[in-house]
Amino acid sequence: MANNILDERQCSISGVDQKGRGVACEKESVSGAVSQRACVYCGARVVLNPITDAYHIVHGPIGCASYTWDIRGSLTSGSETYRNSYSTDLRETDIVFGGAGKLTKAIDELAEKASPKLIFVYATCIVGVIGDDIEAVCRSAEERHGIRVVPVKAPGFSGTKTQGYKLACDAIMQLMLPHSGQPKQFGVNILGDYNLAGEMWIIKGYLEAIGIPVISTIAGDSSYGKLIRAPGAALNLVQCAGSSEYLAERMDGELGIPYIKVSFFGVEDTVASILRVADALGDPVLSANARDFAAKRTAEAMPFIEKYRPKLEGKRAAIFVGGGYKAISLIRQFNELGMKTVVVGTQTGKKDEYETIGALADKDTVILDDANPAELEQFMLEKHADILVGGVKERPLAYKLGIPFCDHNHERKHPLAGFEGIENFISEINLSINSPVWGYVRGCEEIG
Amino acid sequence: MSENLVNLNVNPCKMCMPMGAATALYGIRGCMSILHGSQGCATYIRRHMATHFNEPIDIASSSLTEQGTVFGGEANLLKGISNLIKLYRPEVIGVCTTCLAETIGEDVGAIIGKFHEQNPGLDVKIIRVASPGYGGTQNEGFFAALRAVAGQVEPDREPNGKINIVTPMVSPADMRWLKAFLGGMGLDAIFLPDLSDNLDGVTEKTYQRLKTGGTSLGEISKMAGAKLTVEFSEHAKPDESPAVFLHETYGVPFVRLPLPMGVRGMDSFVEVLRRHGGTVSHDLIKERGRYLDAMVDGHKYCAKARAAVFGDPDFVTAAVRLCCENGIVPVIAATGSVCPTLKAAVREEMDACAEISFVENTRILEDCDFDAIEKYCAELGVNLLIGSSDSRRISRKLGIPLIRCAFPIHDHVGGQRVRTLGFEGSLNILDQAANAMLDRTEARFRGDLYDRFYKGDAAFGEEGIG
Repeated sequence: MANNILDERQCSISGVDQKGRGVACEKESVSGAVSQRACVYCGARVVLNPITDAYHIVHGPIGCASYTWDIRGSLTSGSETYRNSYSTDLRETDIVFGGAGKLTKAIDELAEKASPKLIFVYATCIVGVIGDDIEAVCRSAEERHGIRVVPVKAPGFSGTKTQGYKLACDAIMQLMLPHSGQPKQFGVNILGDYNLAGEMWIIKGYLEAIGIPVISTIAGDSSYGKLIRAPGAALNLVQCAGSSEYLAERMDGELGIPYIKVSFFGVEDTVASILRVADALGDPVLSANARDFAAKRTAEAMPFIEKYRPKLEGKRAAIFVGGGYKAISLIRQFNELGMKTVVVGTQTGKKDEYETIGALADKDTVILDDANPAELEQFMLEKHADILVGGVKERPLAYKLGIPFCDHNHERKHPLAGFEGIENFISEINLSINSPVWGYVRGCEEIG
Repeated sequence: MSENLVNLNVNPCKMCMPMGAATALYGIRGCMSILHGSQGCATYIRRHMATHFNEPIDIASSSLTEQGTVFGGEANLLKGISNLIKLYRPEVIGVCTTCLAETIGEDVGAIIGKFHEQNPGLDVKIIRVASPGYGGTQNEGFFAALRAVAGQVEPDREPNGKINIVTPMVSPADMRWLKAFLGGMGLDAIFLPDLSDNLDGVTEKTYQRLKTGGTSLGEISKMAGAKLTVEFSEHAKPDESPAVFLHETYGVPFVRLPLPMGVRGMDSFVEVLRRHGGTVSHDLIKERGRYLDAMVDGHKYCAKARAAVFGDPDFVTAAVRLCCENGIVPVIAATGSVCPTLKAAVREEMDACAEISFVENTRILEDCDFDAIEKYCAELGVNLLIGSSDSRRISRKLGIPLIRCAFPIHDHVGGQRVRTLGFEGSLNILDQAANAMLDRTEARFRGDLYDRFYKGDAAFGEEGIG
């Protein structure tokens, strides 16, 4: 019989071996544990990818580019450039003789033929090892072509996915800093929303309905022109804290823009966020607008929720998502439906987020950081989860275990944020949990 | 590389070697793979495979860090191997390298040796596969793993009268067909690899974390005593080829055949099997007859097709021949692999097929990306795409129907069940091609003919008679 939990993993699972220190997190993955995490490069790529008119050149062998080509559901109102994959496709000879020359030629060619405003150059694992000086290549290309060419030194081995988020935030800062002197205007930036299935547009719509202009969005449906307007905003809203709180902190310190964390998943968090944004701007009219707006939309949403509640009440949910902030919202959202969260984990949650999760969850809820398939399998079965909310890697596992599934990752094609998203979320949960297929599957070995 | 931007690969028509290696190892019974490199490689590959095969895909990583990269990854790999043994209890472990491990010069053989030293008596076979991401595509990685497996098992040279069947990456459903087909001809075969169960599993009461299908190492060792190896590859280089290895090392005769698609592909396969003791059943004769019948039924529709065929070299070669047999003009044959042999394999018959309809321009592309394929699709008037779902953007942009029949298929379910081999698999492609042309005509002919010929009814004036 195989083990389910490795010794090194015990400290990252609540109720197993916490020693009063809480769930151990923000650590490198355990070798051989089959972590669900990707790498530093992935973290940087997902944050910057939605910048629609940027050319994202992946400097390395083809795999890193191939596996990240247009896999995210970030929508655009402008350029489609970001949906293409650009790679220097390094080969054996490049590894031996260096790839900087090839990269230089690639940038020059792109500058000449495509007239880009902005190029990101991602250095992947082996570029870090063979020592291509991509900073020098990018600097000289900027001078030659008069455009922004920003290096993102993201070798996969140089930390975890969180480190990649940070590198992306630094790259964005590098773009914004030269424009820090612009006059302040009344309005906000939305940080950490990637406009998956148009979610940023939904939130922007809410803010504008209340009377709050949105100056810039990072990075959902962004562009070079929109990004450099961001330093003019009065307030930053941080949706995905895992990826963008660091950027918000830097913008606070260096550009004098304060920030608040928001979340638009579920009624409770959506309403709270709308009110907090309005209150933070200090205009009583806006606050009143926000209250009216939230009350109206909540009243409109309630019949839908009430209609579905009897079908979902009492069901047990397992959550395994990327960041802690989303997990927190999801626990609340399940509570709204009368559901109980029995397992909750994240790839890259932070200490304070796990504390909040611990406070929100029941005593016997399993909380785990950087889980692997064996652990998910054990705890979903042990806790009799009725649904798993996760990403596509986890989907087949849930299905094989006979557990319904809700896709809450970056590849989905329907919004889950805001009031519109609440309906999508609830109906997806319902149609999977209450699908007729499970009735047949559970009797899978009976025939005749 | 791209033809528009010669220094960049724009929209890749390939993946990397570890992807292929990990896929091939899924066809070995009781095998679990670990990629020696940074964490992302394993996770990306798992995601890519999970959405194509719709199966849980577990591939471990040695999760190399900065320290491992600078001072060597031995400790990481040793720990990784013992951890995955604890979690999965595999009989076989495939250690595949990545860009990173190869570039920092990891001596994987020595590390495996050390693992055995530290863990005497542990009953697990560890196979090493050199699969640097920059060394080739998933196709080369697939063969590298097969070659490594064939080369690293203890051979059993006792003659056993079996036939070795070596395949490039084919779908689990095609693999099931292949196994049944050999059985139907009364032949005992060893399949390297056998993806049929592990990448298209069943629903069971108790989930098996370590998959239970695939060819066992015991069977694989018997490949050394087989009477023949049939390798479905015309393009794998001799040093990548398990058939060549088994021949040179153990004297097992071999034939290398195209994938059994289309009439010629199937006939040459059946002929080889017949010569080696296979019996041709009445059913097979009828199936062939039915296929020929379908070819005739569809030939005029197929003749309208101008196809772009893309993917791994052996798939492209076989699919191009299937097209040519049916009058579908393959105007583009493209692979992301470096494959100088592709041209010789298909040039002549592509030209002959094109000549019938006075199609003057066709392209054979190796080491290409989807940017190049898109460019030529537009230039050469392609009206049918045959390959993976990575071409779905071209399909949408240029309004060209797509037959999804190669890895990866990310936008539809059923990638694991795609059929391309045998008469039935060939017919699957053929019918889709004919129907795509029928749909095209059906959607357009009324409007086209109206626009072209209807000039109004002058006798009744502008308003007509209504």
